[in-house]
Amino acid sequence: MRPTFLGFETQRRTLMLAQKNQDIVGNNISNINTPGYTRQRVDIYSMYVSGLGEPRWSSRSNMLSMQGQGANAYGVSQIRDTYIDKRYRENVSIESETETKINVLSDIEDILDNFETTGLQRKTQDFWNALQDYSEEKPDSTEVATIAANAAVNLCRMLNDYSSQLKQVEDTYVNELKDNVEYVNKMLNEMRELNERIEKEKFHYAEEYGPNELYDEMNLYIDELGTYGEISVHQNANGTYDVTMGGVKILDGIAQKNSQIIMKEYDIYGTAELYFQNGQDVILTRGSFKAYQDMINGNGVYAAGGQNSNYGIAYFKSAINMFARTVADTLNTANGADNDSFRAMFVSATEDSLITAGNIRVSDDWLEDPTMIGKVRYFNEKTGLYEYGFDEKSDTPVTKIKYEQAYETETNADGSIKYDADGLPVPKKDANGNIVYIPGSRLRDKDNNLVPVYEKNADGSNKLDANGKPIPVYETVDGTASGTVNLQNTNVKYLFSQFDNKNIEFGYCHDFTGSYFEYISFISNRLGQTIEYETSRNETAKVTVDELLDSRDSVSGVQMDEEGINMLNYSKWYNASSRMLTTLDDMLDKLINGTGRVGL
Amino acid sequence: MRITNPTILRGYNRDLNRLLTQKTACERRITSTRKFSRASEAPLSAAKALNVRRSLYNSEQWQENLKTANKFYTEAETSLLQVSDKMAEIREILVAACNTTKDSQDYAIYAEQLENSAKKLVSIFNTDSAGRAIFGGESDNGLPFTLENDSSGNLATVLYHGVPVNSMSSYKGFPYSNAVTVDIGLGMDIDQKTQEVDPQSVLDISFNGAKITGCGAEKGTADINLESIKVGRKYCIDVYANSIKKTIEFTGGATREETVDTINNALKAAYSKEVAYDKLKQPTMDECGVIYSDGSIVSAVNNEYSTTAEKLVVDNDAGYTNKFKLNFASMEENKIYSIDVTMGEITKSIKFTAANDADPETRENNTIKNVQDALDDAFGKDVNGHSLVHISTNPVTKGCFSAEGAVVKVQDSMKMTGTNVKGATVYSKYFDQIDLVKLNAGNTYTIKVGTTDITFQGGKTTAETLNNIKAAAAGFTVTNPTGDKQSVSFKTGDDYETISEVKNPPSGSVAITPTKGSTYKVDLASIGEEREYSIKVIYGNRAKVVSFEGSADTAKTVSNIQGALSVAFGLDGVHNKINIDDEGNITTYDGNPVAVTSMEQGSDKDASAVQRDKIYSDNYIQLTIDAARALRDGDIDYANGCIDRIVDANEHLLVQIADLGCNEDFIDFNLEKLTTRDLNLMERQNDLEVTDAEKEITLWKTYEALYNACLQMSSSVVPNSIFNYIK
Repeated sequence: MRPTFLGFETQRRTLMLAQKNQDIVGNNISNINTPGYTRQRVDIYSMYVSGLGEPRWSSRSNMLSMQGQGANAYGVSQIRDTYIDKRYRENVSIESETETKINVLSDIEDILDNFETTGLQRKTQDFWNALQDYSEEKPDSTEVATIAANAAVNLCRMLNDYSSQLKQVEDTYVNELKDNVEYVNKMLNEMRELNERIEKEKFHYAEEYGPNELYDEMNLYIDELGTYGEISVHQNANGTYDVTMGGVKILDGIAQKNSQIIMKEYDIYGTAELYFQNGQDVILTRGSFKAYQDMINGNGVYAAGGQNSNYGIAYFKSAINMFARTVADTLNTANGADNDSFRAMFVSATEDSLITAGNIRVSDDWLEDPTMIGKVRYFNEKTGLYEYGFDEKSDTPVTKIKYEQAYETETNADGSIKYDADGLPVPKKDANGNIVYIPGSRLRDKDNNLVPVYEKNADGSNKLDANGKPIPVYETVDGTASGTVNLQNTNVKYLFSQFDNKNIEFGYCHDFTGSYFEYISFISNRLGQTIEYETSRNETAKVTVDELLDSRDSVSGVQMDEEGINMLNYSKWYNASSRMLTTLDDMLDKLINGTGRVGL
Repeated sequence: MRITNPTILRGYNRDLNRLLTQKTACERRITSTRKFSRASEAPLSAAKALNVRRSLYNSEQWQENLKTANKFYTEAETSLLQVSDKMAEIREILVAACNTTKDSQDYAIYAEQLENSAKKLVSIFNTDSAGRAIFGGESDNGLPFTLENDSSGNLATVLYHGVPVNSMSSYKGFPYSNAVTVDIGLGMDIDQKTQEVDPQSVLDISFNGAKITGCGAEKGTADINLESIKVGRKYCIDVYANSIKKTIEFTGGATREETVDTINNALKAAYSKEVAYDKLKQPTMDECGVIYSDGSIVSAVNNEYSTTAEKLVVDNDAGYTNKFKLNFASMEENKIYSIDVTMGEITKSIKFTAANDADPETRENNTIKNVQDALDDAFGKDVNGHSLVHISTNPVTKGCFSAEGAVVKVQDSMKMTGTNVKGATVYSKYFDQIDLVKLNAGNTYTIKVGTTDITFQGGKTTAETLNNIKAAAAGFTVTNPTGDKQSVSFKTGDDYETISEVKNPPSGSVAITPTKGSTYKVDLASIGEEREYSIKVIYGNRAKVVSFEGSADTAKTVSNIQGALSVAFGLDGVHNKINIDDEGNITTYDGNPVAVTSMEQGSDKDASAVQRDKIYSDNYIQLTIDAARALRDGDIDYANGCIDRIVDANEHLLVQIADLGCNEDFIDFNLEKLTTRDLNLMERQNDLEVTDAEKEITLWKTYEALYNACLQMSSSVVPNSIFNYIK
């Protein structure tokens, strides 16, 4: 037997369902522009009432009386494709990584620019030109020599400037990374709090349903977290999310563990290094955290310690340092500084440290005497050393008075030197009674004059000339700078020829072998090509991300027409259901008021 | 695929943004005129562009360098053209001077002109261009060429950077002979060890003066003035032997022998290595202070760098010099020759006998001994017993005359000296002459004119002698064409006759009679007017030949004799050491004995007993100076020899000018090459860096149109939905 009001009950449910559907349509339309909103739908099903219980009011013979009970809904679900989410997060991490890298490298490129502004190539070239000009003049032409020295000063200044600007870029990105770490940590805290809310809310839902809006919020967080590194996401039964980054679970439901990323003190370590709260290093294959680490710590072939072999700020700093050091070293060597430190053209501003772009400067010796580089190196066979002077052929011997060699002297009680009657110091004798001579030093008399060696007679007395004066002994020494200046400015030629030496090794790691200019070109190329590479990666990632966003929208986005049609549909449905109620009412009216009143 | 509103909007936004980005980039390329502003925008183009830039910068510098070089070459060429003109002038002067016989005054004028030309040449070669001496090689220190005078104030030596040009035949041996070069982009090759530049890889912008003016001579010697060397003092000289320069130092010895030994030891020490390896003959100094090396040029200069060493007098005798030597080849054995030797201001006539020996060396050495004896007689010796005038016995300098601290000039005696003249001097290029002055009164002379012997007697005056000759020379027209007392010519018809032989009549002698004690008396009565006489006066250990001119007035003769004695023996305080009184008695002031003998007079021949060192310099400035000196000395043969050499040098100069022209062509060629390369490079730079305006503007127009179209679409980007239609 069918219950009398069964139809009313069915239509009541139907009206409610139609209204709820209309609500969700409204919700979808309302949220059409809400970021992270995932379209929702009411999961409707056709009602079935089981006859297995004890339907006192039902027919035993069949289930007929209980059929046709209409529709009902399980709940409101989200339409989401987790595979698309996963792919989206993979690619957005690459996009974000490459964007960060491009930012850093572009900043470096702005500094090391050779095209729009006067760059290293031009300054080096100016230096070469100045040396060329000087080489045509006499080596003692101070004016042109000064121009050459000034060109070198300008080159040094540019390198100093490069160094400090690169340091600024480094500082900027180190700080940016610090801020990002802080931001991610904050975000992780918020995500954990969100997990707590989700858990509480989920309690009220059927198993497969949950707080859709909270899920959307969580997914927004996860999407953002995905830009920092590769992550994997898992949703627990209680609705909460787990997020793993770089192999470490950084969001574990509502558990408060490993939820922080820590950055090592940059000022102490000099590298940007991240580690998780559990002590594990943050090792990522994509994402902006990797980009920061690659760019700040990337030192190419020079990588050591916490550095990596990417071409980042550290590498370009090294490259510029290597340029400064190699130019300085090769020119210093060419100028003979290896044998005589006064010949150094370039020095480090900080004593006892290797020359870098930051500390390179023109030596005081050169600045004080710009013609220092015009002085020529020649081999003095007597000393076995290379010596310097304007005159290349200074082998003309010079006859000079020979002076007595200094010896150790007796001292007076007050420590002053004891002199004999002739004004000569009294020699101190050793145990064997021999005078102890001091090599390379000349004897001075009481008046601080040098004492000549005089020619002696057989009896040891001084030989006298016609005027009764002692005759000094002369000695011939190899000539040094005789004061005459040759036009042949060979040393300067030799110096500028270094610019064309194609066998100069830059850096100690076989990074590059070639000439100065080739190296400048090499750095510029390496930087340009690295940027180009990252740009093409970025473009690919961007296109993929766009496609994935489209795909995601295609699944989860709100479609206006669709919602409109649904709205019309649900409206008609509602109308039909209402109409059904009228019909049912009419039917009951007939039954109650019309039945058995035949003839009334 | 469900198309949702966010998809449409995002797509629209993205595309609009991309269009705007491209449009802006395009605008930027147009406004900045650059294809890229960062290397990353076009790494390959950027790499190429950097190379192109470097090439352009280099090219710019090399063009500057070439222009600098061109300036030097142009100036050098201008200078050399001037030099060439000057050399034509020199040639003309020489030709004019050598063409006809001139008197010594005319020659002096020509010599003066030549010296002026030489000075002008030197001033041209010292040309300064923008503070750089063009012909100074690599030196810019002062003037590369300098001239040195001899003691008489005439130009003597040309020095290049302080080194006599004759001293080396290789211009590379002179100081500052390295090339000054500029890099002109030929790929300068510089040795990393020695810093030596490969000359092929650069352009030489220096000109070696020694190379351009020539250097070296056949041979030559250097004179060290031993007399100027003081005992115990240091000396430093640069010796150039066979182009090898050595600096030697020595200390003045107590005696001349010691000094010579010291110097020889120093020379030996300096050159021992070169002698062993380079087959150079050891340079040696002879007893006269002459440094020589067999077959090569030797010269010496004071070392200019030596500040403490004393300077000494160094004369270089390479080239035409004042060095005279005996002409052994022309001498006949056993003949007596007479020569005039001038030491400083003093001129003496000496006689010597050409020795007789089968062995030529012994013959020469004996002759030298005779000459040295005669020289010692005439000039005496110093306190150390050294001859004042030397004649060298060294193999190389054999027969050369030298004197301590003075210039020596030697020539065949122009006058017969002595009181016992047996023959007449016959000399002349153009007509034969008898020197009437040299003929003694009362003596009989025979000369052979053509085939005729003419015998005549010397008269008391030259006019009387001339008359005697005229009387004796029947069939000849006897003239005295120049009007002086030395020229008599014999003419038959239109032809001058040559005096081919002079036969000597029996000799007589001036009567010098020993008077009481050790005094001698000159027979004043036997002395003829305007005659030259010589007597030998031996006083103590000094023997001097005293020459004087006779006069009709005996008082004048006595005065002449006294003057000559004073010159020869000097004064003792205020008194003459040797006196002659009015009667001809020769006495000494201090009462010491004196011996006087009349001089034996030898036969004079037309062959010259003296010859000059005739070496032609390879340097034309030096050659000009030498020619001037030769003219002054009346040595026309030498001057004549210079003409051809000047012409040769001028031809050589023209080759050098052509060379310079070639180099200028080379510079022009390189400039042109670089200019063309610049154009190509700039084109490449344009291609690489400069915006292709047409392309970019077209592109920009396209972007603009697309962007506008895109914006126009914006109103319908958000599509109508079903809501627009339901009621």
